[in-house]
Amino acid sequence: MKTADRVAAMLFMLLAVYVYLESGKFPSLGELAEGPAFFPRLIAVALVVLGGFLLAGSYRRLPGERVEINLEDGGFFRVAVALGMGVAYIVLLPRFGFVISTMLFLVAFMRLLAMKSWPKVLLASALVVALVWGMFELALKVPLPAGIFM
Amino acid sequence: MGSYLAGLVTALQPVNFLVTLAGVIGGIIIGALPGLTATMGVALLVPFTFSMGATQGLAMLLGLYVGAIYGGSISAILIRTPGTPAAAATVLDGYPMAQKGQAGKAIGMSTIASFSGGMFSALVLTFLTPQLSKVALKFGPSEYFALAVFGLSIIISVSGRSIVKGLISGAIGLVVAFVGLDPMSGFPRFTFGNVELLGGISFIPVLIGLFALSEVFRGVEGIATQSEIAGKLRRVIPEWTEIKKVLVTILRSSVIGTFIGILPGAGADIAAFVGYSEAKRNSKHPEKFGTGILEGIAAPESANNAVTGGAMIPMLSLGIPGDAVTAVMLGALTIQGLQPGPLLFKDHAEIVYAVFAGLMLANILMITVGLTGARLFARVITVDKRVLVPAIAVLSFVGSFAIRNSVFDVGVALVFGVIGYLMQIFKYPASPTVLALILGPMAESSLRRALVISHGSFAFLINRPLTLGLLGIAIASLISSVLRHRAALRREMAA
Repeated sequence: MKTADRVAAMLFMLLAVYVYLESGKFPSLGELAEGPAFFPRLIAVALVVLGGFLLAGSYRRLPGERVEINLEDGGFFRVAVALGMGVAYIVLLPRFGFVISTMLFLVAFMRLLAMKSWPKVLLASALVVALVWGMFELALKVPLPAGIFM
Repeated sequence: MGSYLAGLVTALQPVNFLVTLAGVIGGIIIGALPGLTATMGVALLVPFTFSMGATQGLAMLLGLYVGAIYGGSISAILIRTPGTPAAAATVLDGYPMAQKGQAGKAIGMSTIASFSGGMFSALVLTFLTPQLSKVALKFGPSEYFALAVFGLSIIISVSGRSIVKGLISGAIGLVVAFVGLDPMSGFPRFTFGNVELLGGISFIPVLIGLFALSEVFRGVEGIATQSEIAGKLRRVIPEWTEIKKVLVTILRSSVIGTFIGILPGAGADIAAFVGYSEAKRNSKHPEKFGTGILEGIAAPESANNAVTGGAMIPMLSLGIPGDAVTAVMLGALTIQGLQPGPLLFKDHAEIVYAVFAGLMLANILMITVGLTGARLFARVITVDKRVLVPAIAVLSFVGSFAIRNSVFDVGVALVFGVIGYLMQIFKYPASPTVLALILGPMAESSLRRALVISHGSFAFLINRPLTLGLLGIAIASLISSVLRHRAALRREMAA
């Protein structure tokens, strides 16, 4: 956790510096009113201070807080793959529409979660697609992306 | 009284009755499934409620909220895994009871206690909200600024182990809230020239990311194994003599839960633990707690459900959410075009009264469904995670899309899903981010409005007694929580 806290503290401070500098470009509203830069600057300063506390805390001996992450059996790798699938879904959605993109996404996701039986994967995916599509399109009349096919 | 009856009539309209029932059943299932929380359920449900009217949408959300907080106890009792964080304290006596073969009675007690807590808080909500909003109507911008700061400070004081991390989580929420047009001058801030960002980062996709997609990533990381259910459900309803013995406990926990609900930021999980430890402290036989006794279930379960009504009080009367779930509801109301706060009471009293009656209805439906369907809900826990996790992912994507028909928002949800996942790993509480997203803009615009009124002088911060008082409480609560944390750390170091 110590290294993680130090890296995080740096990132937060960088974010704060960015927010502060960026607010320098905001217009002023004159002397009688605080402009759009006032609050972001306040928070940026607070964030630098907080980052400092986090950094200082990482050098003190405190009761161990453990980072809970599953690095065995490829847990983190699966998360990265799942994220990739999410990105792919966003790219596919407007092009191929809800039904096809979601079906592809679900099948891939269930395989990633080690669901071995293909009939089960296909059936479960089709069921979820039908349920969600039915709820939004039919019951709630909220249009889902149709894409080029449907 | 007349408006209350009107609210009751609205809540009992067949459509509203049915959506509340659907919400309660859905809520119990979501609550019973470990990993799915009330906040996540409400965030996923909000997109569904857009096409309904405000009253119907709210009725469904209320049902889900009440059902989910109760439903968490089912898995706490049966598989020793709290279905929601709010049920964590219920494990202590619930699971031992299940091991003794009394799982049914434990669930029955939890149902009755949840109902009592929920009803009590709904009554307090009904009587307190009108009074509070009358006071709040007199608030000016400086009081609202103080109120927002007060809300933010309490969030931090109750957010987990590290105060610094809670504060950082809140600050991140504030930074996210800056994106978009400045509310006072209309100048675009942090939009990177992106048109989609001009209107700000939309709230619901952020929530869905933080609370639903983050859990999807958690689920992918460790493929959950199927859990064994301890014992069969035989008799569900406890004996009257057994109920009579826990009445005092239930009443005490209901008061505690309602009060904790009213405090901005503190939610059902904290209420449950406070309720449990107070019951133990006041008991004649504290040593029996943890061995599987009914009091150990009644105390946390009535406390956590009492939070529901309590948390709605500041939301409806002041526009400040009492916990993460009501923060989501506040977002839902805003999208329906309603601004929660004292004006809501003045301009849309019918909706507020429908909420009062709807919350009571939700509790009555919860006890009915809970007692009759306990066996069915017990079976839900064994649903295959390998289907559930992908299905939640799809619901998250579709829900984020449906709000503005925007694929960009799906991307927002995905980004915040990753952020939420990292926050979980590195132990940053997510609730402060969400509450800061709501309270931040309120703090900023009210402070700047107050400054315009005072011609740029900060004197109103000390000249107006109410403002000064609220800010004083905020600072005091911050200092006291820092001291409390220090003491707790020192105890741990010594141990």
